[in-house]
This record gives sequence, C-alpha cells and structure tokens, in this order.
Amino acid sequence: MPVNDKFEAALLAKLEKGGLDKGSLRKISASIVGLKNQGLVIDQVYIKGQPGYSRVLINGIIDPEFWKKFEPGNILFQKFEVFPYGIINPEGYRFKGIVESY
Amino acid sequence: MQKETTSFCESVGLLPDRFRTIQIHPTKKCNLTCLHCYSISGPGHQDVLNLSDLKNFLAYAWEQGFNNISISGGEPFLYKDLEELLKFSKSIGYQNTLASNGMLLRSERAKRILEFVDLIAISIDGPQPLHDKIRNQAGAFDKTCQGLEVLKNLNKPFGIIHTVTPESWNSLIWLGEFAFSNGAKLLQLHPLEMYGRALDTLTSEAIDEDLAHKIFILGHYLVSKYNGQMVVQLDMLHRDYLLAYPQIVSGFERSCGQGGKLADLLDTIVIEESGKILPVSYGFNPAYSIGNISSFSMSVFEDFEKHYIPDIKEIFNKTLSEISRNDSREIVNWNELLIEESHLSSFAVTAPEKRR
Repeated sequence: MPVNDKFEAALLAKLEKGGLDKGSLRKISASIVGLKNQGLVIDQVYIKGQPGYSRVLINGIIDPEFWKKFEPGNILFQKFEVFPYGIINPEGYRFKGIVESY
Repeated sequence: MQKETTSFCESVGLLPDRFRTIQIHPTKKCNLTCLHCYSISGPGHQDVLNLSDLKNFLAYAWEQGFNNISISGGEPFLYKDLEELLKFSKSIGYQNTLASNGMLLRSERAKRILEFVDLIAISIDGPQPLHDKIRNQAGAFDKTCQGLEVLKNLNKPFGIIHTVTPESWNSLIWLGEFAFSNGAKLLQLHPLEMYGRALDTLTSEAIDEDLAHKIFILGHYLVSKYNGQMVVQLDMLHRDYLLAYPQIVSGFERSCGQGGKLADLLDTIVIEESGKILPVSYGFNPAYSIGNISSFSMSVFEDFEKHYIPDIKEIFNKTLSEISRNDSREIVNWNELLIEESHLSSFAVTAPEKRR
C-alpha cells in the first residue's frame, strides 16, 4: 500500500472513530492556521453555487525568478499579503510582506 | 541578537484587478430535485429571466466594474437563452463560469455553449450511491460521469464542486482521487447550509463544530496533497485566520473599498430568477434589494451605495464582531453567518425603504 494510502486510512480512522477529542481537533485546526499564516496563498471563500474560479482562471503560478530577489532563499515571512484576492491579470499583482530576520 | 524587521511593498506588471462577480440564476428549472438545493429548483419551474433585460444589466454592470459572471440555477443548460447570454457576456469582456449537474452536456448545443465558458464546476455529492440519493435520481452519477467525459474530450477546464454533509465528509479523500483522476482543475468543498430544500429534507444533517473541524483538517490535507496539481478550495475559514485577515471576506476592510463603490465593496451580487438583484448571496435579506433587472435605472448602484451601504457595512462589521466574540465556534462559514446577520439586524426589520 503506498505511503499516502496508509496515512489517509489512518487519518480517516482517527477522525471517524472518535480517536480525537474536541481539544485535539481544535489544536490541529489551530496548527493548520499557524502554517497557513506562513504561506503565500491567501484563502478565499465563495458563496453557495459559485465556483472558486480565481486561482484556476489565473493559473496562479508566480515566476520563480522573481523570488530570487529575496536572498537568502528561505525567508520566513512574518506576514504576507497578496492583492488583489482574486487576481484577474496573471502578469500583474502587488504584495506586501514583512520579513523578520536575526 | 538583534531583531530586524523589513517591510516591503512591490508591484509587478500592469495594475492588477480582481474578480467582481454577478451570480445569475436564469431559471429555477432543473432536471433534478436535489435534497440540499438552496434555490429549491426542480422540473416544475417555468419562469426564466428575460434575455434582453439581462444583457442590458450586464452591459451596465460591466461599466460599473463587474467582470465575472457565475451562472447557477436551476440547471443552467435548461435556460433556453444560455448560449446567447454567454456569447454576449464574453463579447463585452466578462469571464464566464457556471455550476452544473453535468448531465446535459452531450448535445451539440451544450458543446457550442461550452465554447463560451471559462470554467465549469460539476456537482458531485459523493460516491455513486450517495450522489444518486442526494440528487434524488437513480443513475444521476453515471450521467454526470458521461458529462465529465465530454469536458475531457473538449479539453475544457472544469472543477468538481461538492456540498459537504455529515454523510459525505468521510468520502473526501475518495472525492479528491475522483476529481484528480478525471483531470479536474478544481475541487471545491462547500459545507451544507441549512437553506432552501435542505431545511425540509436534511434537517438532521447540520454540520456541528466537531465535524466542521474534521472537514477543515481533511480539506487542508487535500490542499496539501494536490498542491500544484489541482486547486482545492474549502469554503470554510478558521476564526483566527478570518480575524487576522478580515479583508478576505469584507471589502470594507480593504483599501480599495474606501471609495465606497459597490463593485469595490461587494465581491458578488446576485440576480435571482425573479430578476431581483441582491447583494452578497442568494438568501441575503431581500429588504436590501439593489433593484430589478427589468426596471433598473442607470444610477441603480449609486442609489444603493447612498442609501444602503452604511447598513451593509454594519452587517459585515456585526458578523465579524460576533465571530470575534464567540470563541466556541472556530470553523466559520462566513457567508452563512453574514446572511443570518442580514436578517437579524434591527435596521433590516425596520424596513430600509423608509429611510430613503
């Protein structure tokens, strides 16, 4: 069984069979948010019946060459915001970020 | 060790824009009677939006800054003027997206229509037995799969849109595989909302807090699993994230919204099958109707901005405050809460018409 399948079976079993109490569920969700705050993709939500089009329509791949401007490579963003939240023009976007370094 | 904080702000390329969407329900006619249908659509409905009215409104709204349409329903392919509508909106410059049950895609007419569609989302409610049960029709799953084949053969970008219920959440991993193996560009997970037909047929299926966490965890597992291969969109937010980034959901929190222009404040407006134009979403308090496409004036948005935007802003702010106050609810369906607030707010029940 591939690694993914094993992991997924275990994850589902934990979630389905009550292996995680409310406190654990909350902790895991909070950890996900912690990770997301370091990410580059700003989440959006859509109303019922509305496809989440923006990231599909823009093929939101950012030119990796652009990021070379920010040496050294592994920057930990304290805060990162991309505008607009649904980018219609793949060539253009604006972002604001805060980098903390020691 | 000295801490150094660097802030930067960068623009690349042309001035960016964002999607401002008009969700259109051209008809409530549908070949199905889904148990969770928020618009209570079905085969019995005959009313349809007038094409000429729609075109006039879309031309006006384009000038006002809207740039994307999202067709829902009813089943969009049962709207007799769909081809003409999409051809027209495309000619103006709109992006065309739609949500469909995917069962009516094999005709030549459907293929012609798809030429004008930028993204189509097909509803799948789970593995075949569950899908057919929710769709209230035996064989629905197989017919939808035939529709997916049409999309694949046409090389048309499509997504799978799924209403997550207490019965379906543990099929999400299966659903990810299903969507990815079929070549979907998007898997969208939208939690069941107790609205429309669900209020009669799925009353025991409300999503509680524990289940919301489980969906959140599984949803983000899928985001990670398919990263770079398929967009996984989860229409639920963690309270902490939402409070840190309120601009995700509220135009009033964005700098571009400071001008008070409707298209900058509201990501979506909705045209109901009656022609009524609503802010935000289907189900928003109709006391805040923007107007009707059959009789709008060229200042309809401006009038709405003047008379209603302060109240709409208050509804957004109150919803955010309530989320901030209530720390027992961590996983949030923002739009559901916002709609609830639109009906609860005291200024809504005192008939805003009087304040004009």
